[in-house]
Amino acid sequence: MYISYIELKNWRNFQHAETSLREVTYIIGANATGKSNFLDAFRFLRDVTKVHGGGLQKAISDRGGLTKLRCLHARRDPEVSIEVHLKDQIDDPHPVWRYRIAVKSEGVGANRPVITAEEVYQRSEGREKCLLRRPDDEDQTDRERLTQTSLEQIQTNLRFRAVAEHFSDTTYLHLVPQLLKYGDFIGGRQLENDPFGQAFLDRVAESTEKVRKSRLSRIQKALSNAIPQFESLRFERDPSGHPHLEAKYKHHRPLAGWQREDQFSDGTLRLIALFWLLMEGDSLLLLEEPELSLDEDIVRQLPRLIDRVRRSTKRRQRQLMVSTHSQALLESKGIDGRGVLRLERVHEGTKIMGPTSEELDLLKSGLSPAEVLLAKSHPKNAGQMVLV
Amino acid sequence: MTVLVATEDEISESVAIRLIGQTAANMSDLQLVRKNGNGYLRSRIGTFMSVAKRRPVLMLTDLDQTKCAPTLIRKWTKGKALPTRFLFRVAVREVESWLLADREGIAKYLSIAPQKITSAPEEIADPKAYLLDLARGAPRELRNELLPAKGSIASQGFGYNSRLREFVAKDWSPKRAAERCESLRRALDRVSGLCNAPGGT
Repeated sequence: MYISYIELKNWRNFQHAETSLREVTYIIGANATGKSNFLDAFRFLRDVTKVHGGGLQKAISDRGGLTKLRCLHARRDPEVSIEVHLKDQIDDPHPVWRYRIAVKSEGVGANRPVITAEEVYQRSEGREKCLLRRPDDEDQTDRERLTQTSLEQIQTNLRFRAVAEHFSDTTYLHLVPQLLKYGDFIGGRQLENDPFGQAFLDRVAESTEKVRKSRLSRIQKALSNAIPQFESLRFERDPSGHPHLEAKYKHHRPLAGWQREDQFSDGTLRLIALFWLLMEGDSLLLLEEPELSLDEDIVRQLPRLIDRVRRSTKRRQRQLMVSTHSQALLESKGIDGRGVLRLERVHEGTKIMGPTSEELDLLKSGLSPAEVLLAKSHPKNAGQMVLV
Repeated sequence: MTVLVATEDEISESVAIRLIGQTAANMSDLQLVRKNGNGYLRSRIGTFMSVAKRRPVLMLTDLDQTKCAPTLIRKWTKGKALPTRFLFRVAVREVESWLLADREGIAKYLSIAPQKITSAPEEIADPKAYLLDLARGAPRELRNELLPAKGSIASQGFGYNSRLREFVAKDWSPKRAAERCESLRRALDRVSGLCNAPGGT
């Protein structure tokens, strides 16, 4: 399934914003326009539905409570809400699922966040049916119920478990190579869901040998495209059982042997993790600035590499949302213009702008997203924009 | 001797390298400069002209919709005379015409019949669109790389530049192409001249 649409109300710096989404969506915008906050809406849905240690209360308290979460510009209407639509194919005319959650502070006692609305609609055989609409009668008699979503409970989400599972499988990655390479020395605490990729090697180790071999060989192929000297990639365990990735390069002395991941360049590690995740499952993958520590020439090839790796999976492909600042990345004229969203600060919060039909026309006639869209996200060009 | 090669995109750059490779002179050392688009070339033309006093310079750009090459050159140089070792060549209308001019090469690369390709590549109004249209007949893997995905709003596929660079480097024959393409034939002649031109080492 693909998340084809999202609407945010009072979510962090989005007072009200809505946008449609593509199979691959790039999110651009100047610093502090809310790119990470946008991605966080999807992580929030994941945290609500997480099997271990999930739930609405935890997801909100992990974010510092509702007051931190709520948009500063929310004055009269204190409700925070997220609505998403899911489709089987991104170009289907109607969504199969619509899910909406709205929350506000209880206003008394501990001021817990309580549900003001939770709705699920499913479309089948050409008709949309309402599967859930809360608060319902039971909620009115037992106010405690309003502290939990139906989505997070297996007793209540039976009829829409597919939605819950899709949310909970969302992966977010902002791989910090140093944490992975020097994890043992740093003795770093690993965060839930491993957002910084410290446990990436365990992930690789957990897959079956057949799957691992096939993925590594496809990664090897993609990598040798980007890094010509790159020869081969394999998985090994050291005598104490720790998992490792090892690579061989052509230019090294023939006897130099294999290099372990702690000798890989930061860029190589990030690419390997990115490609691996692209092949893992069919849920949503959120990527924060994949261009970091990559050489500009490789960044330029990144959209193509992503496309190739996605195509190489026979199964359903993952939906991908990528926040980026990179000029080189957006110079790729192969990027589908409909999949580039620009965040722009307006007087109250941030707006999400999809390309206009004129911008799409420029892209069609040969300009790149960097020329047409990225230039506008640059704050110093704001004045120029008025003239365009 | 170092040659400065200034181009407006990746494909033109590969073409320029092949042209220089055709000459016997030892010009293996190339200084490649490029930023996407011809705005950069226009803005740096003064610098390139002073570089050309000391070493050869090859600059390659597309004619696009300008009427003819001399008009474009006059406009860019603002009427100043070019140094003898500044070779300013213009592909009519785009570098893709030069690739299409090697009918046999491109037909083989795309696995299509050579008869499907025009023998007057300089008369195509939009050579890139023409090439993309031909690519529809290519095997699926190559077609996916050259053409935008179905329904997608993009001007080319993700692998368009990389794949055509690969074609230029390995399979394109400048000599064969020059037989059908006047602007390329002249460029090729002048590149050989450039390498043997007097003035400095």
